[in-house]
Amino acid sequence: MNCDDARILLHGHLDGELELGRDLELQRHLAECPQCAGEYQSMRAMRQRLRDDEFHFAAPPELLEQIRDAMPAAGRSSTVSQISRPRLTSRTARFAIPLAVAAMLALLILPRMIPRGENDSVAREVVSSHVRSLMASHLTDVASTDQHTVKPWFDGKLDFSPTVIDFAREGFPLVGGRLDYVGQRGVNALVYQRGKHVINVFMWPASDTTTAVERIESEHGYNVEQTTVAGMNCWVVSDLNQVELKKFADLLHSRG
Amino acid sequence: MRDVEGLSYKEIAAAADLPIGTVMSQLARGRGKLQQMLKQRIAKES
Repeated sequence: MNCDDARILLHGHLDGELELGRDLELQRHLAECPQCAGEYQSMRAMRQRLRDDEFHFAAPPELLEQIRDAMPAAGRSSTVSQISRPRLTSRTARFAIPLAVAAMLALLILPRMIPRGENDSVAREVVSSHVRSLMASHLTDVASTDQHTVKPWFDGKLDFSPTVIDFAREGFPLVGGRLDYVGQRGVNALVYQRGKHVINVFMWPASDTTTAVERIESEHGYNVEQTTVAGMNCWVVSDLNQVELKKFADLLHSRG
Repeated sequence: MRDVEGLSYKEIAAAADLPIGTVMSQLARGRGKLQQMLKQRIAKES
């Protein structure tokens, strides 16, 4: 068996669709070909990870509709279920849809998301807070471009005094601030703007203040940077592109 | 059809009127293509 054939049969094997004879041939090939064996391991690992709740997400219904529409009518579940479906109920199919689409999407995104356990969950929290702040018309509790208005506003509301700097001259004007809740504690969220993009900056006292600027993987299309500002743990979230957001985080870090 | 509808290779072969071997190779090709597309997109983004 050559490698081209093996790469195709790998799919059949992983889908549980290979007949015994072919499967044994494939196993023999994998035993003597490290490249194909490596490919097999990575495909298998990817599928396993995708079963974790952590990486599982449902594809939006519109996407599924689009995919269905592109199929020959005979392949759509409604039609097929009328033909003969000994094993698969449409419920299974429905369950398999998001899983499979997620599988493919996560295939390459995944290795970039796996590490950094604790940071991962903070990243998720700050992205959620960012999204909520944009949704609920609750972007700011104190709306002011004046850092000397925003900073005192936090007095007595938090057990620390956040660093508030306006970066209007650098093209990141301060818009305001609000109270938020991240990592099981009250934090301040500062809101900056870059063109039409909103940037949320979350801060709380840090135990480790050595971090310069570190890029945390983007979550759901948002970019996240982590840094420290004057002894504060600082998380920056926006839909702004990564280059500009990094520039902003660097500014915060150096001026804080 | 495999990944979205959860059909077996046999069912796809019947629905698309193709031999099972072709179903498997097309599936491998499709998944490979998707992988390439995602790779390029991620490379562009980072």
